[in-house]
Amino acid sequence: MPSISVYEPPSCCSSGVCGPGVEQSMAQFASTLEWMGRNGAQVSRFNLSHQPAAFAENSVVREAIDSEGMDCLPLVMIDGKIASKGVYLDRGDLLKLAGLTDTQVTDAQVTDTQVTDAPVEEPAARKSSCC
Amino acid sequence: MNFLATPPANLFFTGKGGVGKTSASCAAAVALADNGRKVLLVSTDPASNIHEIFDTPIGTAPTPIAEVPGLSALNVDPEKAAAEYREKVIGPYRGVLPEVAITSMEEQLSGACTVEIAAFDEFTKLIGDTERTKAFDHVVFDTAPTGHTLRLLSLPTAWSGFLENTASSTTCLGPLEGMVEKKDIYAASMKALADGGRTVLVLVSRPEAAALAEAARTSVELGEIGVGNQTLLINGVFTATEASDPVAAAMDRRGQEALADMPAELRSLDRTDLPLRAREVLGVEALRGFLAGPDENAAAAETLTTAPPTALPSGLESLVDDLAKDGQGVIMTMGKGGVGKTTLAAHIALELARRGNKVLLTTTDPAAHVAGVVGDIPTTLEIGQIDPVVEVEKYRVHVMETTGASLDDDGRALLAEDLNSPCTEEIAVFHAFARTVDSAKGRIVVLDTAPTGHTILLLDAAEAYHREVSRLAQDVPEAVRGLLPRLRDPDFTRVILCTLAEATPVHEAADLQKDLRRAGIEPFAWVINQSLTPLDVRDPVLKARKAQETRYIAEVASEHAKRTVLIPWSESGGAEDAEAARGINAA
Repeated sequence: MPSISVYEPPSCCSSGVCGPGVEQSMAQFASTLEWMGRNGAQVSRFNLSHQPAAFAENSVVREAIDSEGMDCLPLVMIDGKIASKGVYLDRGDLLKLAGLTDTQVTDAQVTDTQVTDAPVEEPAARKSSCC
Repeated sequence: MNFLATPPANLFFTGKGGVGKTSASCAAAVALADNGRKVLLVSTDPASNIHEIFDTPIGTAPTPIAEVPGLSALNVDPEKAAAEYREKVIGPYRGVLPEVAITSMEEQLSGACTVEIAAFDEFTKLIGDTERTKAFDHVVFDTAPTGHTLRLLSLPTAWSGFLENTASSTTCLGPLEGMVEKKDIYAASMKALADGGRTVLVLVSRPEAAALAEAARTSVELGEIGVGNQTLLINGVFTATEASDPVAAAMDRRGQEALADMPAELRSLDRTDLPLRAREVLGVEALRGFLAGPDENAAAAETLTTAPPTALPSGLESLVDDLAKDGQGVIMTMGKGGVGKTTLAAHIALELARRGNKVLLTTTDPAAHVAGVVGDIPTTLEIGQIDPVVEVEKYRVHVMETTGASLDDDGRALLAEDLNSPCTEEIAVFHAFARTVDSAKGRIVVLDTAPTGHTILLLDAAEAYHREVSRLAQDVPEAVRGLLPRLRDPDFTRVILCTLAEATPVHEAADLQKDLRRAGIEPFAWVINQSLTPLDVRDPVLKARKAQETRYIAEVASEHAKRTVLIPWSESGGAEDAEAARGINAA
């Protein structure tokens, strides 16, 4: 299983409570990450407001911000390489980038309800908010 | 004052800006010290003038007040505490992370909640740690923590998030880093607040609908979380003494009506009424007189003759002339609760409509009797409404159904409390506001609200990073995306800051202006509402108050405003502005 690191823009609210729109895609992205985490992938999420150290320690991330600005966030790294920039990937794209096969996807296919009803283990899922 | 007969260890004074919290808390502290008690007075207002009141510099450590044996005072500055916290978080990354990242982090940590939590953190050092205050019999605070802050701290998740995993982002609690060792002191503080034998909450109000509504809201909110020992202090009750002065008669009547209509929640509380003062409460003698009853200085205050400004600022007429020039755009009246911005918005809209412009007036005050303010509504004027309570509820349901669905019970409880924060209300209202502006092309939209600079900067940052991501475009409502750049366009958006000719409202408006400027927005004009200066008053108290307005009118005109408009006091003006009623804490 791959190792996935997500570097997210600073936020008062990763839930988008304080943002211009509630990020449905972000919620789905989080669900997918949780599910992958439960199935053996190593998943880490870093928010610039709360874990700046993770950004500072990673020269690839620093350089991406330097050259592209904040637009490159969220930045997804899979096994140490940049997999996507500036987008909360949907389930299919994330699984594909993580190198999971169609069979695995199909086998593991869970509905959103199942995912959201499952106990939350990844801290990444605790998406509190506010300024 | 009854609560001073058997005073508990902690006294908190709360109320909206300008009701006299500082005067009342200073006077109570002096009264207690005069009774032989050891008293510590704590001021948390960044623009605190207690050094002026006591005519002595006050530091961040207890400073003895020479003139009042037994009394010491200290200043805590929550803005500064929040700034220190911000620097502690960000400082180590300066020069390490790219500049854009640093700027972005700074904005995230500049919200009202950060300051609020920082303030509470300062409180707890004084109420939760008896060791630090053992030299004093009483600690008097000129403010009180909000229900939102106290509820957050009572949630187990607020603590477990910090204790167990730094990856959970409980940002509302940002400044409470190092909470592990603080947990006991917080628990002790909460316990002290809920103990009526140790803490009294003094709700300070004016005899005005908006201020009373705000007091009622605070009373209920803090009562629900256990702060049960409460008392009501009505400051500024005016009794007309000069029969020939119609302004005085009207002011007297208005105050009596507001008190007669007092919210039910406040009626059961112990109540103390204090008369309207002829002049500002400065000096220890004035503080002693403050609680003593009728204003003995009214006549003497008449001798306070300050020369009126050489040229009085213009009235609304010429302002509306300029606002009408383009026939379109957005006009927003902005100010803290109780300064009359709903009434002002209604008058501007009416004047614009009468001149033949197509106008949409949208108010956020559900109790606004706009029709009563504007009288006959011209066909060119349409009236709409944004109800913040409804907007917040819609937003809350949406967030809980989407984001909340993926959380466990504790996570949902924390998210739900985050949704109670002042910023949530601002964002929810902003969404409705953006839709209103978007739907009103080709006419002038007048709104009695405006987003703060902080909100604009947050939305702007979010918008910027989504800009080029087409697949996410639908997440940022089109109306919001379209509005942000237009807010900065001085030919499209005009913000009118509304204030009163008094110290606190002027300072609060100046802070709002500073915040807007951070977001690249320059207010078009300042309106000084409910001024006695243009009126011929004969009542001695009102004459003295009129003389004192001069200083603040001059301050607005010379230090703050590019353009100043003065509106005379009127019986209806400002009375309907019940936004404080709804509890918007526009801070």
